Amino acid sequence: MRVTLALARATLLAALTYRTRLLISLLGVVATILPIYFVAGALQPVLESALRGEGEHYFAFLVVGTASLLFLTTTLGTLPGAIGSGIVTGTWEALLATPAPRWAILAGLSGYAMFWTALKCFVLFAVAVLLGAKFEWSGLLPTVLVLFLTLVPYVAVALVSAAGVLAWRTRTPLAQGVLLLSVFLGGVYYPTHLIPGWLESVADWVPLTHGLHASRKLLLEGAAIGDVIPELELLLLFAVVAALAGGLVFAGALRYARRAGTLAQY
Amino acid sequence: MTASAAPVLPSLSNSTAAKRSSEGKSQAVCLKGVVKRFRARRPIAEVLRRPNERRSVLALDEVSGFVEEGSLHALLGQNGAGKSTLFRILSTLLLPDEGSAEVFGEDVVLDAEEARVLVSGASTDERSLNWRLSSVENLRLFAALYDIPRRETERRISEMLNVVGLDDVAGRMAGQLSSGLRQRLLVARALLPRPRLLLLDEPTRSLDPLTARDLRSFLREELVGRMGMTIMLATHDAEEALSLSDRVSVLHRGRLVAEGAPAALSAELQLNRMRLVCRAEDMPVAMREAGVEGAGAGGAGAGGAGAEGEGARAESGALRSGLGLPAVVPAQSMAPHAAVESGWIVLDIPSPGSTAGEAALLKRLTRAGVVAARLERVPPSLAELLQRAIARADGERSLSNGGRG
Repeated sequence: MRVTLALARATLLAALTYRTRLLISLLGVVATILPIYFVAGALQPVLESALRGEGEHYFAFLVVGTASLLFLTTTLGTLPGAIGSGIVTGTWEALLATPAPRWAILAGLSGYAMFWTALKCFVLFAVAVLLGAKFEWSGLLPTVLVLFLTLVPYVAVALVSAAGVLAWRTRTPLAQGVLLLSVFLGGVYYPTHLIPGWLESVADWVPLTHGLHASRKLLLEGAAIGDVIPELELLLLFAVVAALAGGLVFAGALRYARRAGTLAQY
Repeated sequence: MTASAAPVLPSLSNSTAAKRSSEGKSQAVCLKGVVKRFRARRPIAEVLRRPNERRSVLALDEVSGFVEEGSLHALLGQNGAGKSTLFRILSTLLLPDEGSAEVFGEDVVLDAEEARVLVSGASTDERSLNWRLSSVENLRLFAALYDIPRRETERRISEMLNVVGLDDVAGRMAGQLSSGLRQRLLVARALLPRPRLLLLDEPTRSLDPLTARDLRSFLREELVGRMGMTIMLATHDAEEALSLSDRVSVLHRGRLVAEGAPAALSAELQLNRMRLVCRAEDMPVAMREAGVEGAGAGGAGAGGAGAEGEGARAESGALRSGLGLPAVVPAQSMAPHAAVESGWIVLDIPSPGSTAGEAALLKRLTRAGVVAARLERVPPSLAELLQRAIARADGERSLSNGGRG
């Protein structure tokens, strides 16, 4: 834990030296939510009936989807990016030469990005509330658990992508493909029951579908954690299987890179 | 490394008793026939023509030997000799293709986690620092990575910053430091966990002469002398290697071509030479007294650095100093401050090997009437050292092949 926190702190301190960039990043969140607000207002009458069971208010529905998407993008992109730039600068080798556990290093490399995304989501929700969106705050803590379980399979995808960086010095298109699939089939912008039947069955295999469904029940419908147990069970299954697969692929790639000598070549 | 006669050391095994050198000291590093090949990159046209062909570059060729605990061991070689590859294997960042490497008895492949606790390395790559963090924050990060106890962290950081002379700029971002200061920060980072084995890859490369001198003295006296740390130092600088270390290993194209204590290695490879500045007309006498090859066979015409015509210089070029090099030092190879005026000549002669021997040589020269302006030791260059080490290794190899044949 100390290693993870130290790495996240170091990245935070480095990021704080780029103050303008941080400010622009936060303003970007505000700039994103305004069009969402107007589009949601325009489509509310059309989608109201379709949103039953997921809050009925399209703006709040979209805010939850957008926040999840922010986390998803961060999860998929941070690790391969951090390892890629670490290989270029030599920091990756320097980290691996220490006795710190590998998982702690990987968590530390993503730590700051996740913290920053959480901060952006806080701004997103704050602005949404100011614009009239209503959330059931009692569901916030269970939503954090749902979000965690939803993101674990995506961490695994990020590990596979990072494995590509280690072994072939290039990101595989896997992360991009998974992101695209999740955005279109996971219910970020519309309820999944609106997509054609055969695609809906594919959507069942997308962890985000279940994560968003549970999050919206908790945050928009005021459901208790007991009401989302089926989604939690499914997400746990996804998380365990994906984490094992991702961990194995990454460990294999690390061993290959140590054999081929590509840890310090991009 | 103290080289083994054969690629694999038969006397070394995994038992504790075997982890000792012949002199009874513990082994910090033990290498047994380490081979590392890297896949060679081929042009795309060639890949398309011969897709199944694999080409590799041999980075380490059956390197065997050991480094004694508490010693400073220099690894000398040109770029691409295999020094950094060996360091990366010892740091567990690279897996050997064949053979094994142990650090204090921990196999760097099988017990990598244990080995990483014992080894710390300072690379020359300044980019491996976080340039947007201050020197202190860079060290705080690595203190956590090395799990240095929290209550000790600040004291240790301030001690290390003091050691490398960075106290005044501790709060400045690493990216704002000069190259030399960043180099010092890398050394401080490597020293932070107080490793039992410290790997330093050209630590004085970007340092100014005074800082380099201080660092060398710190490595020798403080780390090795007082703390008993084992240091492996990769360098291009033959003088640094020979003056600083307890033992020197010379790598050439991945092959260990020479190894030994600096004095013995210098003597074996005839690296000890002296430079004599004398009157041009005294050259034949000086060379005879100094034992230069061919000097007795009719002597030579005057020539060399300061003076005479090209003909005379060419003639004297036939004389060998006994070191495999021309005895008369050509003017163009002399530094301006060392150049001599017309009528004087600069000769490279073999060193008798001791101060007493040098005094005797000086006495002989004076008695023989040689007017000498200077007699000084010449530091060996990497080129010279490599040239002789390779020639000797090749000779030994062909002898051994001939014996087998």
